[in-house]
Amino acid sequence: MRIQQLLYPHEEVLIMLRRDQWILIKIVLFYGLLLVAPIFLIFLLQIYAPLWLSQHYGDELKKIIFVLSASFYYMFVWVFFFRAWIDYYLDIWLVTNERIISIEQQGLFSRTIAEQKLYRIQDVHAEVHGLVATFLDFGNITIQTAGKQSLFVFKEVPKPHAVAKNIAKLAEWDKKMKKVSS
Amino acid sequence: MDIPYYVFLIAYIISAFFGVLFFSFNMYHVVKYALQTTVSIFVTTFFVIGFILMLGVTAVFIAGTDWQQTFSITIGL
Repeated sequence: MRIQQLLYPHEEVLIMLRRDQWILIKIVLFYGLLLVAPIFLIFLLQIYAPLWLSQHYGDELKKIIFVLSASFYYMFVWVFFFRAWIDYYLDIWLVTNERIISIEQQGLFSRTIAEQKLYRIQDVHAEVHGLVATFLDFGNITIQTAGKQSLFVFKEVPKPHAVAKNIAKLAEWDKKMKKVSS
Repeated sequence: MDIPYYVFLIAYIISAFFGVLFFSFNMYHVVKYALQTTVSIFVTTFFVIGFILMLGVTAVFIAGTDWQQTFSITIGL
Protein backbone atom coordinates (compact mmCIF):
# COMPACT_ATOMS: atom_id res chain seq x y z
CA MET A 1 0.00 0.00 0.00
CA ARG A 2 1.64 3.27 -1.06
CA ILE A 3 1.56 6.37 1.11
CA GLN A 4 -0.79 8.27 -1.24
CA GLN A 5 -3.38 5.50 -0.83
CA LEU A 6 -3.47 6.12 2.91
CA LEU A 7 -4.37 9.81 2.58
CA TYR A 8 -7.80 11.41 2.28
CA PRO A 9 -8.45 13.63 -0.78
CA HIS A 10 -7.64 16.95 0.90
CA GLU A 11 -4.99 15.62 3.19
CA GLU A 12 -1.32 16.54 2.80
CA VAL A 13 1.77 15.16 4.46
CA LEU A 14 3.48 17.78 6.63
CA ILE A 15 6.17 15.64 8.25
CA MET A 16 7.48 12.29 6.99
CA LEU A 17 9.94 10.47 9.21
CA ARG A 18 12.08 7.37 9.01
CA ARG A 19 14.66 6.14 11.48
CA ASP A 20 17.82 8.23 11.56
CA GLN A 21 20.46 7.48 8.92
CA TRP A 22 22.84 6.31 11.63
CA ILE A 23 20.64 3.20 12.01
CA LEU A 24 21.09 2.45 8.30
CA ILE A 25 24.84 3.06 8.58
CA LYS A 26 24.98 0.57 11.48
CA ILE A 27 23.15 -2.03 9.38
CA VAL A 28 25.50 -1.47 6.42
CA LEU A 29 28.60 -1.68 8.66
CA PHE A 30 27.41 -4.84 10.38
CA TYR A 31 26.55 -6.73 7.20
CA GLY A 32 29.58 -5.31 5.41
CA LEU A 33 31.71 -6.79 8.19
CA LEU A 34 29.99 -10.17 7.80
CA LEU A 35 30.62 -10.10 4.03
CA VAL A 36 34.28 -9.18 4.41
CA ALA A 37 35.04 -11.53 7.34
CA PRO A 38 35.68 -14.74 5.30
CA ILE A 39 38.01 -12.87 2.90
CA PHE A 40 39.89 -11.43 5.87
CA LEU A 41 40.10 -14.91 7.41
CA ILE A 42 41.62 -16.38 4.23
CA PHE A 43 44.07 -13.47 4.08
CA LEU A 44 45.16 -14.17 7.68
CA LEU A 45 45.48 -17.90 6.95
CA GLN A 46 47.68 -17.14 3.90
CA ILE A 47 50.00 -15.11 6.09
CA TYR A 48 50.09 -17.22 9.28
CA ALA A 49 49.28 -20.74 8.08
CA PRO A 50 49.97 -20.96 4.34
CA LEU A 51 50.71 -24.70 4.43
CA TRP A 52 47.38 -25.43 6.09
CA LEU A 53 45.58 -23.56 3.32
CA SER A 54 47.37 -25.39 0.47
CA GLN A 55 46.97 -28.75 2.20
CA HIS A 56 43.25 -28.30 2.79
CA TYR A 57 42.27 -26.29 -0.23
CA GLY A 58 44.17 -28.47 -2.71
CA ASP A 59 41.98 -31.55 -2.46
CA GLU A 60 38.98 -31.40 -4.77
CA LEU A 61 36.43 -32.55 -2.21
CA LYS A 62 37.51 -29.92 0.25
CA LYS A 63 37.40 -27.32 -2.52
CA ILE A 64 33.78 -28.31 -3.23
CA ILE A 65 32.83 -28.06 0.45
CA PHE A 66 34.65 -24.73 0.75
CA VAL A 67 32.97 -23.15 -2.31
CA LEU A 68 29.46 -24.42 -1.51
CA SER A 69 29.77 -23.32 2.14
CA ALA A 70 31.00 -19.88 1.09
CA SER A 71 28.14 -19.56 -1.39
CA PHE A 72 25.62 -20.63 1.24
CA TYR A 73 27.08 -18.14 3.74
CA TYR A 74 27.14 -15.20 1.31
CA MET A 75 23.67 -15.95 -0.02
CA PHE A 76 22.08 -15.85 3.42
CA VAL A 77 24.07 -12.84 4.63
CA TRP A 78 22.98 -11.01 1.47
CA VAL A 79 19.32 -11.96 1.95
CA PHE A 80 19.35 -10.92 5.62
CA PHE A 81 21.07 -7.67 4.64
CA PHE A 82 18.24 -7.02 2.17
CA ARG A 83 15.67 -7.86 4.85
CA ALA A 84 17.30 -5.47 7.33
CA TRP A 85 17.20 -2.65 4.76
CA ILE A 86 13.50 -3.38 4.02
CA ASP A 87 12.75 -3.32 7.75
CA TYR A 88 14.45 0.08 8.04
CA TYR A 89 12.87 1.52 4.88
CA LEU A 90 9.30 0.37 5.50
CA ASP A 91 9.04 1.94 8.99
CA ILE A 92 7.49 5.33 8.29
CA TRP A 93 5.81 7.87 10.54
CA LEU A 94 3.65 10.56 8.97
CA VAL A 95 2.12 13.71 10.32
CA THR A 96 -0.51 15.16 8.04
CA ASN A 97 -2.79 18.17 8.44
CA GLU A 98 -5.42 15.77 9.83
CA ARG A 99 -3.74 12.76 11.44
CA ILE A 100 -0.65 11.03 12.68
CA ILE A 101 0.02 7.72 10.92
CA SER A 102 2.41 5.05 12.11
CA ILE A 103 3.49 2.40 9.60
CA GLU A 104 5.72 -0.29 11.06
CA GLN A 105 7.10 -3.38 9.40
CA GLN A 106 7.76 -5.93 12.13
CA GLY A 107 9.56 -8.81 10.48
CA LEU A 108 8.61 -10.11 7.05
CA PHE A 109 4.96 -10.98 7.56
CA SER A 110 3.82 -8.46 10.11
CA ARG A 111 2.88 -4.87 9.25
CA THR A 112 1.05 -2.44 11.51
CA ILE A 113 -0.61 0.75 10.33
CA ALA A 114 -2.11 2.90 13.06
CA GLU A 115 -3.57 6.37 12.81
CA GLN A 116 -5.09 8.94 15.09
CA LYS A 117 -6.65 12.36 14.56
CA LEU A 118 -4.51 15.33 15.53
CA TYR A 119 -7.12 16.76 17.94
CA ARG A 120 -7.02 13.52 19.96
CA ILE A 121 -3.36 14.01 20.83
CA GLN A 122 -3.05 14.62 24.57
CA ASP A 123 0.68 14.59 25.18
CA VAL A 124 3.86 14.62 23.10
CA HIS A 125 7.31 14.07 24.49
CA ALA A 126 10.74 13.41 23.00
CA GLU A 127 13.61 11.35 24.41
CA VAL A 128 17.25 11.24 23.40
CA HIS A 129 19.40 8.65 25.16
CA GLY A 130 23.01 7.68 24.56
CA LEU A 131 26.25 9.24 23.36
CA VAL A 132 25.73 8.71 19.64
CA ALA A 133 22.06 9.72 19.80
CA THR A 134 22.99 12.93 21.60
CA PHE A 135 25.67 13.90 19.09
CA LEU A 136 23.61 12.96 16.05
CA ASP A 137 20.35 14.26 17.55
CA PHE A 138 17.98 11.37 17.09
CA GLY A 139 15.61 9.66 19.52
CA ASN A 140 12.06 8.56 20.26
CA ILE A 141 8.90 10.63 20.21
CA THR A 142 6.06 9.30 22.35
CA ILE A 143 2.56 10.55 21.60
CA GLN A 144 -0.26 9.92 24.04
CA THR A 145 -3.70 9.97 22.42
CA ALA A 146 -7.30 9.39 23.34
CA GLY A 147 -8.20 6.34 21.34
CA LYS A 148 -7.93 2.58 21.05
CA GLN A 149 -4.21 2.77 20.44
CA SER A 150 -3.33 5.30 23.10
CA LEU A 151 0.43 5.35 22.56
CA PHE A 152 2.32 6.09 19.36
CA VAL A 153 6.10 5.83 19.40
CA PHE A 154 8.19 7.31 16.61
CA LYS A 155 11.41 5.36 17.01
CA GLU A 156 14.94 6.71 16.48
CA VAL A 157 13.80 9.64 14.36
CA PRO A 158 16.02 12.65 13.65
CA LYS A 159 15.56 15.97 15.54
CA PRO A 160 12.99 14.55 17.98
CA HIS A 161 12.64 17.69 20.11
CA ALA A 162 11.89 19.94 17.14
CA VAL A 163 9.48 17.39 15.63
CA ALA A 164 7.70 16.90 18.98
CA LYS A 165 7.25 20.67 19.28
CA ASN A 166 5.79 20.83 15.78
CA ILE A 167 3.40 17.95 16.45
CA ALA A 168 2.22 19.61 19.66
CA LYS A 169 1.62 22.88 17.78
CA LEU A 170 -0.29 21.05 15.04
CA ALA A 171 -2.44 19.26 17.63
CA GLU A 172 -3.28 22.57 19.33
CA TRP A 173 -4.10 24.18 16.02
CA ASP A 174 -6.34 21.27 15.03
CA LYS A 175 -8.18 21.41 18.36
CA LYS A 176 -8.81 25.14 17.88
CA MET A 177 -10.00 24.60 14.32
CA LYS A 178 -12.38 21.87 15.40
CA LYS A 179 -13.20 23.73 18.66
CA VAL A 180 -12.39 20.68 20.75
CA SER A 181 -11.61 21.27 24.41
CA SER A 182 -8.52 19.62 25.87
CA MET B 1 31.42 -46.60 2.25
CA ASP B 2 31.54 -44.62 -1.02
CA ILE B 3 29.62 -41.37 -1.10
CA PRO B 4 29.17 -39.44 -4.33
CA TYR B 5 30.06 -35.73 -4.44
CA TYR B 6 26.50 -34.83 -5.50
CA VAL B 7 25.33 -35.35 -1.92
CA PHE B 8 26.78 -31.90 -1.16
CA LEU B 9 25.15 -30.51 -4.29
CA ILE B 10 21.71 -31.74 -3.18
CA ALA B 11 22.19 -30.11 0.22
CA TYR B 12 23.31 -26.88 -1.45
CA ILE B 13 20.35 -26.86 -3.88
CA ILE B 14 17.89 -27.29 -1.00
CA SER B 15 19.48 -24.40 0.90
CA ALA B 16 19.60 -22.29 -2.29
CA PHE B 17 15.88 -22.97 -2.80
CA PHE B 18 15.10 -21.57 0.64
CA GLY B 19 17.46 -18.66 0.01
CA VAL B 20 15.65 -17.81 -3.22
CA LEU B 21 12.27 -18.20 -1.47
CA PHE B 22 13.30 -15.82 1.29
CA PHE B 23 14.65 -13.37 -1.30
CA SER B 24 11.31 -13.56 -3.15
CA PHE B 25 9.43 -12.69 0.05
CA ASN B 26 11.70 -9.64 0.44
CA MET B 27 11.02 -8.62 -3.18
CA TYR B 28 7.27 -9.01 -2.63
CA HIS B 29 7.38 -6.55 0.25
CA VAL B 30 9.53 -4.09 -1.66
CA VAL B 31 7.29 -4.14 -4.74
CA LYS B 32 4.10 -3.88 -2.68
CA TYR B 33 5.15 -1.16 -0.25
CA ALA B 34 8.36 0.56 -1.22
CA LEU B 35 9.07 0.63 -4.95
CA GLN B 36 8.06 4.23 -5.41
CA THR B 37 11.22 6.24 -4.81
CA THR B 38 14.52 6.43 -6.71
CA VAL B 39 16.37 5.28 -3.60
CA SER B 40 14.33 2.12 -3.19
CA ILE B 41 14.58 1.25 -6.89
CA PHE B 42 18.35 1.73 -6.82
CA VAL B 43 18.86 -0.27 -3.61
CA THR B 44 16.56 -3.08 -4.77
CA THR B 45 18.41 -3.32 -8.10
CA PHE B 46 21.70 -3.48 -6.19
CA PHE B 47 20.49 -6.38 -4.05
CA VAL B 48 18.97 -8.26 -6.99
CA ILE B 49 22.16 -7.92 -9.07
CA GLY B 50 24.28 -9.05 -6.12
CA PHE B 51 22.09 -12.08 -5.52
CA ILE B 52 22.06 -13.11 -9.18
CA LEU B 53 25.83 -12.62 -9.40
CA MET B 54 26.38 -14.85 -6.39
CA LEU B 55 24.17 -17.61 -7.73
CA GLY B 56 25.76 -17.24 -11.16
CA VAL B 57 29.31 -17.65 -9.87
CA THR B 58 28.28 -20.74 -7.90
CA ALA B 59 26.47 -22.14 -10.97
CA VAL B 60 29.67 -21.79 -13.04
CA PHE B 61 31.59 -23.71 -10.38
CA ILE B 62 28.87 -26.38 -10.15
CA ALA B 63 28.86 -26.80 -13.95
CA GLY B 64 32.64 -27.27 -13.98
CA THR B 65 32.70 -30.06 -11.37
CA ASP B 66 32.31 -33.78 -11.90
CA TRP B 67 29.71 -34.63 -9.28
CA GLN B 68 29.75 -38.39 -10.01
CA GLN B 69 33.11 -38.81 -8.28
CA THR B 70 33.01 -40.51 -4.94
CA PHE B 71 34.90 -40.37 -1.71
CA SER B 72 35.03 -43.08 0.92
CA ILE B 73 34.54 -42.86 4.62
CA THR B 74 34.98 -45.56 7.19
CA ILE B 75 32.51 -45.75 10.03
CA GLY B 76 34.12 -47.53 12.98
CA LEU B 77 31.84 -48.89 15.69
